[in-house]
Amino acid sequence: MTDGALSFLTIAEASRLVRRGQVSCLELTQAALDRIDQANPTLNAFITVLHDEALDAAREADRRLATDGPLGPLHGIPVSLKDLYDTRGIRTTAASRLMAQRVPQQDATVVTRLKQAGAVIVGKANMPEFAYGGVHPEYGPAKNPWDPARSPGGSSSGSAISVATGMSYASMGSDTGGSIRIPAAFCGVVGLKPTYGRVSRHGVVPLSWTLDHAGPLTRTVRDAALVLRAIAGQDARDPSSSARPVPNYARGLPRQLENVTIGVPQDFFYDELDSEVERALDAAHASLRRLGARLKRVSIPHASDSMAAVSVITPCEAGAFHWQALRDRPGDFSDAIWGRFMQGLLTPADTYLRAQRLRSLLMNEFRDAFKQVDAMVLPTVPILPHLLGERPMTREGISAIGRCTGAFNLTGLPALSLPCGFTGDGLPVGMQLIGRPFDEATLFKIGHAYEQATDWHTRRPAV
Amino acid sequence: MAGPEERKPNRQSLEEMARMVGLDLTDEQLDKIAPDVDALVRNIAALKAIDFGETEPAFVYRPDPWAECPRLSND
Repeated sequence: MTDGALSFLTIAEASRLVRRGQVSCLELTQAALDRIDQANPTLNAFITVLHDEALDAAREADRRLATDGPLGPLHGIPVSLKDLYDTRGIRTTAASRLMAQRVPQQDATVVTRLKQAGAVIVGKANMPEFAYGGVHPEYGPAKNPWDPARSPGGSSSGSAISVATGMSYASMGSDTGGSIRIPAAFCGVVGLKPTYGRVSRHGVVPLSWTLDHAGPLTRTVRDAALVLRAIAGQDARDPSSSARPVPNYARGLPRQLENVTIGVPQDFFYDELDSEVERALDAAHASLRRLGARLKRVSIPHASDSMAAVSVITPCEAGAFHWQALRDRPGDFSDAIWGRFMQGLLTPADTYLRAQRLRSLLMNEFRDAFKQVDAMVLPTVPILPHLLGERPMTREGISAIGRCTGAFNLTGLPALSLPCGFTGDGLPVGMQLIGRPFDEATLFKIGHAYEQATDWHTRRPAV
Repeated sequence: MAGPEERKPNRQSLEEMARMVGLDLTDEQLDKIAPDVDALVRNIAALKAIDFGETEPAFVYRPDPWAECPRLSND
């Protein structure tokens, strides 16, 4: 098998080959590093590439495989990390000048769990500064693998690119207002924002304590299920993490969707869609019906206010986290980020509390809607990947990009983005599946069945 | 009732608000922050327009109320 073919296997496929001794962990890792060397100069997906460390880890994974057998489905699988996951002895910058030389003394909990599962870390992925929009000039923008003139989405941009282009089999991202799902949609891969509390945030540089979620990006839904199983679960170092048991999500994923009712929100989420996004979602609805699912209209009356709440909570909490640096080292922030964080410090407490009250309202509305349905389907992003440097806005003057994603950071509900079509110009379109709290399993079932009936997830960018 | 534009803080009040949280802003920084203050004023207006009734803030996701929400499918 060629390196190129190796790089685009799914985790499930690569894991099978590793277990059977048909491919070594070292070969998988070398293939991923070769892809990074080939494509990264064009796409700028990585801040740090761990050539030597990854090859050493792969050799150790082969040695352990020979002596102890496989640790699990991630044994020897190359993965990347958004550069805000702490990595012991390896700098973790959050794409900022402020943390440019920061070398953590311990791994984030998720990194520890990935290593315990046998995964091989190949690099630290590029991202906007502190995962909040602006690109720090010292790191430069990551580029969309389907059209390098366009945005890959953010903020887990390098993560999505690395998965889409075979530089890694999975990548860990973070999501405060859509930052896993948006780049997943723009780059044509799968992105999961788990339920708040499902995955530890310990050792992930915070943007907003109450909105941040850690989650994986992969090339298939099954692979997302495999990664979530490895990283989820209670962590004493993250007080918000849940003690609920972690299911074996990948077991028994179905090909049909009988007895499944999927809600289609009538308010807000389907407004102002690009015509090609609308067409892709219409076709996805038809596919879900053919698989046996029943689609039912639901209503979330305050969905349209979600962006205002996310836009208040995020800078307030980020400003509080960065207050000392804002005072002592303001010149180490890019102008865009400095202004947003300052906005948070100047926000009246009453406004912050109104945003948190909206959170309660939305939770109540989603809870009512989920009395009628098992999951919901909606677009991930209402627009197509835009040209780098542009900032598309809605009619209401808010960012169009996070319009359909922020509500699920407020409510903590699990949300899975997966490819559901391509435009005439070859740009990917994503759809989101939303579930009840801690019911990622239903999202995996629906997403997997949809994937088996379509071939969007098998397309690869030419880069 | 004043509209969002009328409620926008002037330069001096912004400077004082920043000083209150421990930051002395330069003239250049006050210029730079203007678009973010505009965004904040819009968000304040949007959130003020919502009738919250007696709804309390949530802060983070709380799972318990969902225990009463029955599943539909048989699995």
